[in-house]
Amino acid sequence: MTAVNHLARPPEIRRDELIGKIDPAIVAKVNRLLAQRDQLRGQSRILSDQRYEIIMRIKTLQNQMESSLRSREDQVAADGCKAEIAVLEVRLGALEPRSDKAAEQATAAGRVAEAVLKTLHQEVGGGSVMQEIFDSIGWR
Amino acid sequence: MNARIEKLRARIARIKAEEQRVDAATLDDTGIGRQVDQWVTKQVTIAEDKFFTQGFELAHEPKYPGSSLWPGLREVLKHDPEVALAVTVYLNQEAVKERLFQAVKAGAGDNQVADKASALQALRAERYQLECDEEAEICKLEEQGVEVFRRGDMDPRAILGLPA
Repeated sequence: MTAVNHLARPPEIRRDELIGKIDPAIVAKVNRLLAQRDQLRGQSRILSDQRYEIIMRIKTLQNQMESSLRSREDQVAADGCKAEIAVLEVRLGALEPRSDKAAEQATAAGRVAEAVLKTLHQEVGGGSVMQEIFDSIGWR
Repeated sequence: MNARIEKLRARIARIKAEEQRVDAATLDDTGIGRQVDQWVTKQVTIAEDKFFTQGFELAHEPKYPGSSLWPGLREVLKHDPEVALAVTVYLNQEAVKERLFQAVKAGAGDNQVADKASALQALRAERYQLECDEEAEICKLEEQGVEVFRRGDMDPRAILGLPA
């Protein structure tokens, strides 16, 4: 086959050929590592969002409480805010280590996935074509 | 955390620390002496090639009557200051070796390794094998449905089962 014919073949055939160079066990492992990374990132994001929401809610309640106390008109409302802040702070205290741990795991999984893809790309070659193929099958 | 993985990770961490120490180490006294010898030998070669071989001019009268300069030697020293250093070293080889060795040794510190390249190669090979063992253990646990997280700095070749 000439070089021209080789280049003229449809991209999907080139993709199958190049991916076919990789051991199926490695393909399966890369898929698993990337899925694990995405799952950990998702978990981390959920916990991070929850943490942010609680922090923002505490800030809002603190402002409301200060406002109520300044006007000296609504001690009951201020007490209510204080009680809710106390509950939220307990929840935040419990959430923070989980959120930190999840972020740490997601970062580690991201580094592993990145290093594995880079190594595999170097191992199989294929230059920018292989990079496009990796991208097209979601290996990024 | 699985006890075997913890043990493997502790050993890997120790080897990594040792790799850093070896990587930052200087040569031992023998290695320093060898490097000093090599440097002096190079200066001797430069002096012989670029200065003393030009000395044949001195067997003749100066090119220009009344001149005390021989153009070949003059040009060498004019355009190649490195030769002046080489000639100086050539004429004082043992003294330069001794003084240079002492100066290098004083700045080398206590962290000395005889053959860094071999030491690092051996440590990396040992770490690679341990990382392969770690990956095998992780895969075994994953198959059992146990969630184990890989270290972010794991060797990707060990993860993929590729040769080091």
